[in-house]
Amino acid sequence: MPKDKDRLGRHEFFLVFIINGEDCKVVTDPTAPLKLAVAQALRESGNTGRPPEEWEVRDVHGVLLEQPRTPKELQLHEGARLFLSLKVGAGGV
Amino acid sequence: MTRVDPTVCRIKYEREIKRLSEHRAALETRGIFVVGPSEFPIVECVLVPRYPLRMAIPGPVPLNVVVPAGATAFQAAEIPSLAARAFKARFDLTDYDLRAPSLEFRDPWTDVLLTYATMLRAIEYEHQRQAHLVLLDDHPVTHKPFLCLRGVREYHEHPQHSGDSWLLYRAEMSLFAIIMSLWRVCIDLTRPTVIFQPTGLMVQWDAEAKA
Repeated sequence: MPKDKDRLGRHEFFLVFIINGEDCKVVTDPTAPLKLAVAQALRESGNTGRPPEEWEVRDVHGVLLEQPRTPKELQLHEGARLFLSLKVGAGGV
Repeated sequence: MTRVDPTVCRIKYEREIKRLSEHRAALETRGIFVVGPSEFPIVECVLVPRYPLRMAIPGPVPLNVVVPAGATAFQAAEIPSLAARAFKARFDLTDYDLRAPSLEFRDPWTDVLLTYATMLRAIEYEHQRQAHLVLLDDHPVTHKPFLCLRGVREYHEHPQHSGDSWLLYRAEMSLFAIIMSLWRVCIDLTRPTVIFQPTGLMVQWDAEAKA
């Protein structure tokens, strides 16, 4: 059975999170908040050392995506590649 | 003197090189070019700014605009054929990942260390703090310009950041992620404007208000 189908053969929507340069494919509901997929990606990739609130998601153009919104609202297409990284922490003046 | 077994350090270095290689296309679309061949423990990449330079010159005040007495009005325009200079980011992964990668800014043509006066400015933007400068001129230990950003050795080993240890982040922060942060503050957010003033030229660096 193709990997993008569930046990009943229904189509599954997935996103690919790039975390520290490694791909993490997550099957998710396009109408559920993106933060659920983010939490799943962090869990599955073993990135559990920092709380989810410290992570941010950007699209390939570097645009920050609001995690309470859904993939559908954000107009993310299936298989969209998203960069999931710790927020830039800076000192400076 | 190194603190990590060089064999272990080299394995981790090669893992980082592999990740960069796998995402070469994503890096290059952002104007980040890993240049090589990379030799342990060094990784070098050239970052190419993309925003056109803006120029502002004193000009006549438009008739429908009221300005305070003594104020100067400027006319600004983009020069599509000019941008900030490219630079080379040189990462030293000695003792990685017990210590964060060290970062130096170099001239991509001569490999000479850039001085602060000749460099671009790196700016981070957050809703709460707004724009703030993160490229500073004199590190208290190295006395070189440094990027005051989490993930960079010069940040974590700065006396003012002793409470924000690299060891708290190293499992969740790869060289790939650090380079993407570098891109954000040096390329994606930052753009220069040359301002012609009666007293001379001035370069103003602004950050796009983009969280």
